[in-house]
Amino acid sequence: MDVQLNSSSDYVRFERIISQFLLKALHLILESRIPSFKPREHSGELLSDSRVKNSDKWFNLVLGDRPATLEKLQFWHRNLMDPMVIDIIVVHRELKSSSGNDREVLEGAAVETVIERWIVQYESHRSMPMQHGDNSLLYKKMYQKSIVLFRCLCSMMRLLPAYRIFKQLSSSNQLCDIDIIYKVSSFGHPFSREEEKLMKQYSFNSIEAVNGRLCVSVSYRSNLSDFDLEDSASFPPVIIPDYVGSPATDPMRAFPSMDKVSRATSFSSRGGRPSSSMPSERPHSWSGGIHGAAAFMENHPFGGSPPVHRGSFMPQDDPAFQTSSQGQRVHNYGNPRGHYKTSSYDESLSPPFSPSSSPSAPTYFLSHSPSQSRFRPESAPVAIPRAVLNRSPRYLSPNLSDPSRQSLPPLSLKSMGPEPSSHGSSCPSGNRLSRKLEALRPGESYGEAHQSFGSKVSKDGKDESGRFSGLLSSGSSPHRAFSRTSSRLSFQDELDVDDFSLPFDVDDVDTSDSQARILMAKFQWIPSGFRVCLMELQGFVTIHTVIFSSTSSPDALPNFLVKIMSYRGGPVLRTLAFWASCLDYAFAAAFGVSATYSFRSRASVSSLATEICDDTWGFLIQSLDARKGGEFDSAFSLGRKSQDAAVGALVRMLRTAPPLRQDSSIYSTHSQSIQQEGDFGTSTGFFMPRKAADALEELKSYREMKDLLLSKSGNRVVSREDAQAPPLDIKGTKI
Amino acid sequence: MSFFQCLFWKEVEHFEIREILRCILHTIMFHRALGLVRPKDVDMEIFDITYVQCGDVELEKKIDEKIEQFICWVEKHPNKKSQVCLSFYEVKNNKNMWFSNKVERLYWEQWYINLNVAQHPRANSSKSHLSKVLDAGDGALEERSARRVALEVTLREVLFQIIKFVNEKKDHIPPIPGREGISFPYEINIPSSSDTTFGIDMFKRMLQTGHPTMLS
Repeated sequence: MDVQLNSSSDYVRFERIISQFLLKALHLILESRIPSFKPREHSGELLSDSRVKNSDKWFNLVLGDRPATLEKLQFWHRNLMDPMVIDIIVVHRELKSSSGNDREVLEGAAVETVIERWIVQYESHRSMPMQHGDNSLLYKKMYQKSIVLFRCLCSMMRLLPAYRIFKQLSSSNQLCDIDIIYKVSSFGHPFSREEEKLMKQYSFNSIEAVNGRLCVSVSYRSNLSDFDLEDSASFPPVIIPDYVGSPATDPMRAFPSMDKVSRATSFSSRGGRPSSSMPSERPHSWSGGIHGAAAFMENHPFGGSPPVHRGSFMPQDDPAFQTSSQGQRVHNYGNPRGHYKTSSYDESLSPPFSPSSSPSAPTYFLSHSPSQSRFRPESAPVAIPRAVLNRSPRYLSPNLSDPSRQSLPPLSLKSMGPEPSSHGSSCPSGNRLSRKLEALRPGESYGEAHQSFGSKVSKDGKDESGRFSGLLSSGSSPHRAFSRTSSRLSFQDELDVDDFSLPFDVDDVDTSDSQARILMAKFQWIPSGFRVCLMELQGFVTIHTVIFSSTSSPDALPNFLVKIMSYRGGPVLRTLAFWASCLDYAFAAAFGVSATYSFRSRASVSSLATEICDDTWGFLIQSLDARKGGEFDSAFSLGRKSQDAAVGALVRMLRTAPPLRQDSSIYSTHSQSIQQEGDFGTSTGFFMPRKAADALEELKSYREMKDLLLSKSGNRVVSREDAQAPPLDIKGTKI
Repeated sequence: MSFFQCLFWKEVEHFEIREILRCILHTIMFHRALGLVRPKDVDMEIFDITYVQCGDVELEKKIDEKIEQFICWVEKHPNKKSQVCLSFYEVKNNKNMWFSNKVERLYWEQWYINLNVAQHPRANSSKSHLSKVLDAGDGALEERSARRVALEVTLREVLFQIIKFVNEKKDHIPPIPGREGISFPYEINIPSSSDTTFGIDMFKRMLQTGHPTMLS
């Protein structure tokens, strides 16, 4: 026998709880399965009561504003005893590209698969014994247990396999070949045997109600690997002509956001696809379920009748919805601006056991046509234009760029120069550095200068958008002028400080990267300054620091000491050396190398070096060894070729050069020559662990050589005879 | 009546402790914070699992503090099985005591999380697991991946068990007070400096709250 509901208010209370229970379950299920129902991101903190609607406080679970579709959804229950069946359906569209009307359209058959079926219902116990007395306590217990049940339901929604698909769809901006829709009805089409085998069941413990019990159960597919977006290979690989990192692009540019990249990719490969009629929706998602149907109806109020849903609740069964025409009925159903007198969700409704609860008239859900829930809008396909990556021509490969720019190939993947404006910003940093270094005096502690300089270098590098340019400039102080006797220094004139851009603007050295990064600071002579460039080739050399010291004489050339911490090959040093030597500068740069290196004939590379020097930048690092006529590889004798070829040849040479350590024979020859020249008292120290004192000693010897060279006009390469001159002390006087 | 839940665990690494404990504790608390809450989804970093928090900032802080204390304890006491206990209680003023007005705690639910931390504690538990992965060889990498997958499956199963238990046992829950967020007082106990003390404390609690029902 049924529990006697003593008053109509009791019945009203009962119906309200049941209807809110069903509504909350529907909202909870859809908001964690349908991407379009996903609420805005929030911190999870509870907003003030004034901002949380009373209708959302039911069962102490705030889910946020209900979507407009859910608000407009007229869920009609002829009887609260009817179950609410919520099918979560994955629509898998087998895409086939077809062209027509200058548009690429993706069409295909849609395969629907029910991955979850939720059944929320109130089971009436007509056979239960009659219970007398106040039912308030029963309502309270029912309400409290419902709170706990919804907590479990909320957690369960995240643990079931379907949540993964929902999360992928929600977070993915790419065009997907699958989408999730839902269908709400009072009857669930039975599964086939094959489907049943794939489904698992889980039932939440029922909650005893006044006349029955509240039940929530789910049948779900345990294996959804077929619909895994991450493993989806629906789209064939597409060759992207101007991918980031290609020679036609600027590898140094920051990578576009993944959204843009993926969008570009998807656009180029997928072209257009049928989009929903709602312009606010993502073009790549299916507006499924009732939401889509409502949207369609909004645009086509007198559109065709929705397809008949198999076995589902049909509105024409209800006399309340008998209309004269199908279209009219559709209109009545689908017009979102229709005059639905009774709103499904009365904002004044509040949970029964909350302090702010207030009685309100019960409302009835008007069932939306289940057939409409299955109706998906077939709007006109929209061609999505191919994304055009905005590539500035200034970021073309150096091979194709302005010859005034450097023409060496990007020795690093990110070795493209920034915009001149950015370089302009780098100049001040370099100027700041040079001014700081001016304070350094010769003979200053190696370690001190090293530390201060090194830190400054890194700071400057990082100031420039995290890119280590290593730009060291002696600033615009005119006293840095030096005598230039070679026309091969014309690149200096081509340069404008403000327009200078680092050709190898590289990222910060990532020490955690096992692959050596290319870091290059540029040393370059300019009339008003001195820029030094160091290049760290992959796996060859790690430039630790550069010590830049100034001299008192205006005509004196700055000395710089490059401490190379590690190296794996000599080619870079050879390269640097011969480049520097070919510049024929009238100075002797102190080039302290805490590593071994060998030099070969440099005469053969003079032509190449000339070309290189004609570029907008050139290497100034000189070593006395190079000027001593070390021999360079014959591969350098490239003659007058194009800059690109020269650069390419240089790179090949550098990469194929054997490591220095294996080249002991050459070194021995070199060391002999050095000893013959007697300039390097510490030549053997190149193999020895370097200490500050050793470096200072070497610096002194280099200074002696510098003075010697200066005394001999600096144009001529120091000959062997000159090299055999007695060594000079630091002051340039013969010892 | 009290319910004891023992969640036995597999061997976990140090860097996994924080994530796992956070997931389990927040999941339990979400099911027991029966006041008005706005659920907050949290995606785990090391597993492909999303759990729900109740969004209480104070609770989040307290849980993080307890986890940090627990990790410190584990690092100081290697090779020991560790346990975290989350208890819910009611405050009963014992008015029968004439000379003392001792506030008695009546525990109505307790959750025990047993952890078996890996035998080789890391020097710095805050290291990223990525560095650990890179340190290992190829064979160890596969083993670590397999262990990680197994651990994720176990964690999912544990979460299912929590939901199942919460779903099945509802009658012992005290009436929900009309407040937001956390509705019942709780405490999180971690092993103290002495294992013996911790065991005695637990034994005392068991005696106070009646006959325990061990569920696994």
